[in-house]
Amino acid sequence: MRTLPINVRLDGRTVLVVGDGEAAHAKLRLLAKTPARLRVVAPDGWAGLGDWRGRVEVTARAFEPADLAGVALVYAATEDAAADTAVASAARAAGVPVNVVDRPALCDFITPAIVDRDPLSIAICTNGGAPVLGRRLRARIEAWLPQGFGRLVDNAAGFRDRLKAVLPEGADRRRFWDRFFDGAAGDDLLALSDDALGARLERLAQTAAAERDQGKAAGEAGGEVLLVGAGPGDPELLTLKAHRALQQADVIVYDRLVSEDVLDYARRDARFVHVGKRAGHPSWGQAAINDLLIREARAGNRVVRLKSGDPFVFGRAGEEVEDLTAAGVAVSVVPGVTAAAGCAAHSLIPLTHRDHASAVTLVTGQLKGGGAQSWRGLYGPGRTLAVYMGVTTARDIAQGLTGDGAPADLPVAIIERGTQAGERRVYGRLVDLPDLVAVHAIESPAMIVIGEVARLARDWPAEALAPLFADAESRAG
Amino acid sequence: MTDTPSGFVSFVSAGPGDPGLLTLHAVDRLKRADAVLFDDLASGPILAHARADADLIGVGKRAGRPSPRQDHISRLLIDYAERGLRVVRLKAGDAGLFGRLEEEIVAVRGAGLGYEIVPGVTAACAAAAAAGLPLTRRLTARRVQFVTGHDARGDLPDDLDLAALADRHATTVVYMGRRTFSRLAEALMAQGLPGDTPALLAEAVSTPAEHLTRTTVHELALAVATPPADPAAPALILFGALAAAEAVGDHPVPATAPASAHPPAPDVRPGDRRCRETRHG
Ligand SMILES: C[S@@+](CC[C@H](N)C(=O)[O-])C[C@H]1O[C@@H](n2cnc3c(N)ncnc32)[C@H](O)[C@@H]1O
Repeated sequence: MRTLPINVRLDGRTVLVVGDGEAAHAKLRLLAKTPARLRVVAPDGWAGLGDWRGRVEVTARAFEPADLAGVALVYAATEDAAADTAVASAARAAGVPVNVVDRPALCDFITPAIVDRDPLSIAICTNGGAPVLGRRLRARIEAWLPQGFGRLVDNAAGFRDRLKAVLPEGADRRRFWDRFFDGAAGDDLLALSDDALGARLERLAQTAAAERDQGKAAGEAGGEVLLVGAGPGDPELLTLKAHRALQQADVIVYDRLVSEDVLDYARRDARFVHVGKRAGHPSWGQAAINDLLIREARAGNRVVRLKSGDPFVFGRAGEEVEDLTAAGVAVSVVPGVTAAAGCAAHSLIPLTHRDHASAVTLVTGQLKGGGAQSWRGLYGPGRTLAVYMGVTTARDIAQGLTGDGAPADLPVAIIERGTQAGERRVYGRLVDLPDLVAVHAIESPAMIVIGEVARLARDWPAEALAPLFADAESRAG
Repeated sequence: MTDTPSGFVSFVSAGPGDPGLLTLHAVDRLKRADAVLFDDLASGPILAHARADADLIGVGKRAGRPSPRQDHISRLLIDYAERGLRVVRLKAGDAGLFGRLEEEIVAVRGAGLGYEIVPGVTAACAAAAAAGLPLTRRLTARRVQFVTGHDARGDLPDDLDLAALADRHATTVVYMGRRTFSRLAEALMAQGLPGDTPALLAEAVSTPAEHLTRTTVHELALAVATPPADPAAPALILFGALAAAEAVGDHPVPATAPASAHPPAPDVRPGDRRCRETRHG
């Protein structure tokens, strides 16, 4: 982030606008929506400011540095470059944050495009890069966000103290609000009158309190573990369910394979526990991870165990599910987009093909503690292989498969960090697989797709091999 | 989020049915689409993400019902995209897995139009999640293989590798395979796959009509002889090293369950997705 979005309180404070042209009016229109005291310094006094009588205080002369005394923010809007620059340097000297209209380089702060659903506000800022794009985004959000949203916030604010009395535990209250707002995107809540909203809040709070008491009586803490598939790395490949789970989590337990970008989509004040191998930290064993999940769930937390891809594809989630159920902890599984599907789609490779691939095998290149993977019987015409964790065993894979009858020039695609920033795609023939990995210094995580369909990749080097669709294309043509 | 140019086709994975299993990316594409061409399996609440003024066109391909000709679908895609519109081609599950993308891709490429594939949650992963059965497992399920029970002619494909499918160190998922399963099972048992190999029949996974039946290969081969209540309901069959079957879930199947001509009683019901207790067999 190049700048920090913050909301500035302006009750009883003074904002100074220097100038009286169209730029100054535009700023005043925005500022007039806040409780700030507004002052304008302009040589022509009220001449250009008639509309603002009663709302602003006008000083009819040129700007002087002394005008900055007691000012919280200043806008330089004289529409005269030299005059604006002078305001900016005086402001900087006086330590008053300044905004110079249309000159981002001179600004201490930028006014974003704003969606106003008071008391809810959304600011959109392109840091001067593309204000028009910012405004278009705002228009989309305006169209999408119902007008009544502000009222919802007011009603929620009005209920906070009462709720604290009914549900003293922070975690209980968070759950309460999640439940309450689950309907907020629909028109459901927005259609209610203030009275009806108040009644609904009270009823829900009573229900939540009763449930909490029942849970206590039954000796459950009400915690649960969700094993959530995070997808291959691009956070846009989270499912809506996974996204919601991340937004509602009290504790998020993740490992090395989960991308930072995905974590950005999670609730900010959740507790994040990294249980993967990291330099300088002892690594967590599976037993320790399971203990952590059980402990946090028993403490009544909503625990998200985030797994890359789909939790049940080479994710070792089976062991976690077993331990948790044995401990009597409620577990559910949110499936995700597995790396093979994500990497293939990004390369425009369909894993199956009516004429060339009627089967897909997902296989791991590494068998932890289980000896070497056998590559016998895996290759067959009309089959696509998607190899997970195959970087270090590329040589075994190539030799094993060719030794078992796979053609030396069978197409392979290697997708490193698929769908993530820095994704790399490398293509070639099966016999060259070990060299491709070595020459391009491919690192984990990488997906190896082996089979005719790899030829369909968007950047498949045309000279390498004949097009797969020659026959189909002539048919369609 | 990249802006797609106009006149562009997005092949979008709709996931297994639960609208909550759409990806954020899929939702984004639906929201911006001018036209959405969808299969029957990828419809319902999922289409609610499309704009009110978008054209929604059902091009239903569904078992047991004639469907619009493939070249007709391709033509529609191209017609819309060539008008400069953003077209979403919505496919059930993950579009790249048995989504029959190839012909539409060839057509779109041939017309010189841009396209993308938005991946999604495939039905196998959703079925596994719902049943609490990992698809892979150290030592016991070293790979998972997806096959179709239904080739271009509607028959059991003749290039199935029976030896690979009969391997007990693998989990096998058969898409669109209910109708042909007795024949497949017979062939696999002839290859040495034990009839009591655990199996799961997963119908309408992740929808309100979800129905999971824990059974065995032999039993299921008999049960599928009886036509299902809703022949149009999508079904998936999992079998093999469903290693956790005995450890997780509510009712483990006895190793020697009596064969029955009727579908076995359901073990897991919708809304009952939590793994509540453990019974080590
Ligand atoms: C322990 S497995 C976890 C697989 C995960 N559960 C899934 O369904 O994708 C890790 C392997 O998945 C593959 N993988 C995961 N994310 C990937 C990505 N973004 N690009 C390429 N391969 C990836 C790599 O082969 C990596 O070594």
